Amino acid sequence: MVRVVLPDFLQTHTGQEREVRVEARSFRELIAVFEQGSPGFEAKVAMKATAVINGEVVPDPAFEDLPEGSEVCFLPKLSAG
Amino acid sequence: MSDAVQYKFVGTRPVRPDGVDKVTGRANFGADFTLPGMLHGLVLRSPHAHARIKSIDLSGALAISGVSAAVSGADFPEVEDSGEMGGEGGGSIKDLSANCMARGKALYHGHAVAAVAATSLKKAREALAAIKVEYEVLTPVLSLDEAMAEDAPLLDEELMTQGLAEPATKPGNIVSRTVMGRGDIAKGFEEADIVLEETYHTPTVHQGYIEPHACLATVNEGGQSTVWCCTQGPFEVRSYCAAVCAMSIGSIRVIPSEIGGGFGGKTTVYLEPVALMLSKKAGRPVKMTMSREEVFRASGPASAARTTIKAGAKRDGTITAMSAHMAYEAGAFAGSPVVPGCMSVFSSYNVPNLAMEGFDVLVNKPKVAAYRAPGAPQAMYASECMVNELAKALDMDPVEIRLKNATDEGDAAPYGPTWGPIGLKQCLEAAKAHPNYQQALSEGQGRGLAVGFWFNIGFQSSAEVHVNEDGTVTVIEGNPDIGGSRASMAIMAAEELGIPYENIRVQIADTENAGYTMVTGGSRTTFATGMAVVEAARDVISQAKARVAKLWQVDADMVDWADGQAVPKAGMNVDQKPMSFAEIAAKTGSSGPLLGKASLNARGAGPGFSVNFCDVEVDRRTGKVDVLRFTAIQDAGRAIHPSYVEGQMQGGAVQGIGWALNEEYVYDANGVQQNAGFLDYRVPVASDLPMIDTEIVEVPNPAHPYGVRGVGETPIVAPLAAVGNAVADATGVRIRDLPLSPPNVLAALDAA
Repeated sequence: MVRVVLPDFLQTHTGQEREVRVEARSFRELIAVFEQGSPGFEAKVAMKATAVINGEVVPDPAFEDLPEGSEVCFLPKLSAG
Repeated sequence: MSDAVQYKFVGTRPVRPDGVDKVTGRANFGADFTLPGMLHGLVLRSPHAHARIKSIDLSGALAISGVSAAVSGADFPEVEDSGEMGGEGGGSIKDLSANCMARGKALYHGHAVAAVAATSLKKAREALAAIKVEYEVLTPVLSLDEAMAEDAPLLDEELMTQGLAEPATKPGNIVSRTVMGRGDIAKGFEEADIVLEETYHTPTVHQGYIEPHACLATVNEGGQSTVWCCTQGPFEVRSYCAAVCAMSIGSIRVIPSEIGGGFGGKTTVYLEPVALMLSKKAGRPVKMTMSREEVFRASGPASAARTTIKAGAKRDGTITAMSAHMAYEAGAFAGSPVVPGCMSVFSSYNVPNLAMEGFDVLVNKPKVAAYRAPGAPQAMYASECMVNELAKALDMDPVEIRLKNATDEGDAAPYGPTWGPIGLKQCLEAAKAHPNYQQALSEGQGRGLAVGFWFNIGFQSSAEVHVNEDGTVTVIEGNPDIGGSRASMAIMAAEELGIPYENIRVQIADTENAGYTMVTGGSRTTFATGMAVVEAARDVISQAKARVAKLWQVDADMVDWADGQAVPKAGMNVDQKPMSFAEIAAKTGSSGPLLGKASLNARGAGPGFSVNFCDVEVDRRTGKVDVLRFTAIQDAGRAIHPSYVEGQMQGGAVQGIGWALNEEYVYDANGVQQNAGFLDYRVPVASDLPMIDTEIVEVPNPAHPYGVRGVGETPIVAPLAAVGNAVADATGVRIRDLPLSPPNVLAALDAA
C-alpha cells in the first residue's frame, strides 16, 4: 500500500480525506486508480501539483516505481524568489 | 555535523570571476545595451488606482514627428487563461498580459495603459502627453479589511472565490481559500495548559534591487526577435513574451545581462512584451527602462499580510496545537504566496494538531511578485513571535522551547512529506552555544531569536563543459549569476576534473546557446545547475578515460581518474605513466573535440532551516531601534563557496531587518504610493547596521553530489521575528504590526 497525502484542492477526489492508502506499484498506476475513481484528478495534478515521493520532490514522477510502504505527497506548485 | 569527506576546492574561497568587471563598471547591465536605429520606449501609467478605461486615443502621439509606434491593450493579442505559471503565487498568463498592459480597467496607480516608441526620450515624453485616455474613476480597495468586506467594490466583477466550504454565490475580491492541517485541532487546544491567540500584520515591501528593470527588444522583418534584459530567468522571459505577444518560443532569443539584484522580483516580465510589440510596429529596436519611481509603482512587491496565530502548550513547553488564519494581498491580480505561507508557517515544529487557512485577496495595488522565500517571512514572523510569547508565558528560554518542539529527520512536515536529513536542531544548538548568545545586555537592550525555513527547489538545468586545447575549460550554463554562482560552478568543475579553479571560465549563455535552464530562483542554482555541471564534468572524464584507454591499448575500465589525471586503475596490470588533463586536452586536435554535457530535472532539493538572533537597543524618547548585534546561523548542506553562502545569509538578514524596522508602502486615500523612492522608502544602509555574524551548519543533502541545499531564500525569513522579539524584550511591550519604525514604536510605548 502507498500512503498518499493530498492538498485541499485534490481532496474533492477523496471525499475530503487528506490522507488515503492506495494499492499501486508505480506512480502511473496510482494516478490511474484516482482517475478511475474520480475523473479529472490527473489533469488537476498536472496543472497544480508537485509530487513528493518518499520525501523527495520528483519533477518527473511518471516513471517512478512505488515500493511497498511508499509515501506520495502532492503539494501545490511553488513559486520561487 | 559535517561529514569527514575532504575536498580540494569545495569549501574554499577564491575570488569571484565577475567581480573585477562589476566593481570597475565594465559589466553590462540591462540598460547598457544599444543598437543602431534604436528607439526609446516609455509607458503611460494610470493616474488612478481603480478606474474603468472608457477610451484610449493614440492618434495625438502618432502625429508627433519622431514617434514611430504607440500601443495600448487593444494592440495585444487576447490570451487564453492557461492556468498558473511558475507555480502557486505566479498567477496566470492572461493576468500577466493584462499587468503588462491594462485591458478594460486600470487596477492600480501606475498600471500601464499605453506605450510609445520615439527617436528620443524627449519625443517619447511628448507623445505620452498627447495620448488621450478617458477614465471612469472607481473607488479603490486598499487593504485586506476593505477588500474582504461584504459590500467591497470589486476589482474583477466575475471573480468567484474558489475553495470555500460552500460554493461562492456572488463575486468578491477573495480569489481563493486554502486549508491545510492534521490531527484534531480542537482536541489539541483542549490538551493545552495555556492557549494564546494574537494577530500580526506585515506591510507591503519591495525587494529593493538596485538595478531597475530594463530591456532592449528588436523584431526583424522575418519575425525573429531578440530581447536583451536584466532577468533572473531568460527562458521564462522567452516563454512569457511568446505567450503575451502570440509569438513562437523558437522565434525569440533572450540574452540576459548582468543583474543588479532581483531577489525574486525579476522572475516575471513588465517591459519586455511591450518593447517587442512596439518594435514589431516600428520595425526598429526599442529600448525601455523603468525609473526608480516606476519600479516602486508598477513592479511587484511582496504581499502585505494579516496572520492570526493560536497556539496551545503544556506547562513543560510541549506545543499541543497551532492554528493560523492568514490573508495575503495579491495586488491587482490573483496569486499571492499565501499557499507557501500556509505550508511554512509551522514548518519548524513537530506538533500533532495543526490547522492552516489562507486567503488570496485582490487589492488595488501592484500585482505582487516573488521576494526571497515568497510567503514565508510574513507567516513565520507571526508564528515565531507567537512561540516567543508562549515561551515568555511559560517562563522558558526561547531556544529551549524550540528545541523541545523542533522537527527533525523522520518527522512529517506540516504539509505532508516526511523530512529527510534537516539541520534545524543543529542550528538551534549552534545558537545556544554561540558566544553572542551569552553576551550580557544592558538596560534598554533586548535579545530576540527566531527560526527560518524554506522549501528550496531543483528542476530543470543544463550545462556544458568544453575542454580547450591548452587544458583550460569553459563551462556554459544558463542561470544569470546573482550571488556568485559562476564561482560555485567553477569550484565544482575544478573538484570533479582535478584542475585549478583559475583554469575554468564560466559563461552565462543566452536562450539559444544554453540548454533549457529554469530561473535563478527558488534557491536552486548551486543545487540543480551545480548538479548539471558536475554531470557534464563527469561526462568529460568518462570520454577522457576512453581516449586514454585507446592510447594505452587497454579496456576503458582499466583507467581511473585521480587528481586531474588519467591513471592505471589500482590492481590492473597497466604499465603506463599517468596522463594529465592538459596532455589529454593537447591531443584534442587529433582525437577530436572534448565536450561534456548534461541536461537534468534535479530532484531531492533539501529544505533549509536557519536560526537568527539579535540584540537591539530602543531609544524610548524617539522610538528608534538600533541593532547592536545580529547572528545568522543556517544549514547550507555543504557550502561550496562559504563566502557567498555567508553573503546570502548577511544579505537576507539585512533585507529582513529592513522589513522589520522601516520598510513599508505608504498610500494616500486614493491609492497613490507616497514614498516611491529610496529617500522615503527606507532600506537599511551599511551605516545603519553592525557586521552580520554568520555560522554555517552543514547537514549534507544526500541528493546532491556534494551535499548542497539551497541557501538564497531562507536567510530573509527569521530576521523579522528575531527583531520583533528583541524589541519586545527590550521594551516589555509586544508590538505585533510591522514596521517597528520610530513613530510606530513610540506610539506603542506611549500607549503602554
